[in-house]
Amino acid sequence: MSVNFRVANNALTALIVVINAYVIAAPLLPQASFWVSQKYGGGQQAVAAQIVDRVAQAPQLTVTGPNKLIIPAMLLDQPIVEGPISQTYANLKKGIWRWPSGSSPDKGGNTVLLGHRFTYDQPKGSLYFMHKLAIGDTIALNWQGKQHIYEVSEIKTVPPDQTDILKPTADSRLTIYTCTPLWKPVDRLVVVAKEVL
Amino acid sequence: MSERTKFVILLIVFLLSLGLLALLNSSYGNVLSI
Repeated sequence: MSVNFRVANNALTALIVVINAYVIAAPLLPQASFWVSQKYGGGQQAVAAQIVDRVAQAPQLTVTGPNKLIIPAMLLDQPIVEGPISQTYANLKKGIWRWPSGSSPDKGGNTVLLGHRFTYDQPKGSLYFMHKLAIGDTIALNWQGKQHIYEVSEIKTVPPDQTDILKPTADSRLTIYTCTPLWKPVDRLVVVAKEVL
Repeated sequence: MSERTKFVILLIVFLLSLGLLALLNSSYGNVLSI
């Protein structure tokens, strides 16, 4: 009987170590994979270069495929999820969600996109690398067959109750936000990009 | 300390670890914290 308890205790100890190691390390796993690829692979730069080329070659041209967001600085190329506010959680699980009460690129005004930065079941959220964006970076948004080009004009951190970022605007812009900081998501990291093409 | 007592303590720690993981994941997943 004592032997059985000993085996069970060893197994439980191993499980406890694995679970807690994951709790601590999971927020850093995407960053680590990004760093390794940059240092040893070179693949990430090639992907970024391809995205930049594609953005540069096709401003305002007809594009095919789903509505999607392309951000070379984040190596991001993902479809945009549409869905009602009542299904916020499910929408965010699928990827980058367009806030349905906001505008859309074809109408101008304030198009609002949001996505997870990090969750324990999906450590690399769609907007995990949003902190890599800088003023002047290019963002492309393929929307209903047309590519819209935006340039980052503002980056700020706001508390969750500061909802003025969702308000309509006179100019055509993109407001993208996610949670920050990575370890304790109490605020929102907001990137505002104005349409240039 | 007997193996049985160790087992009970480890089981409690294991369940607390699972609870912590579930709690952290739910806090990252709610609407306010995106």
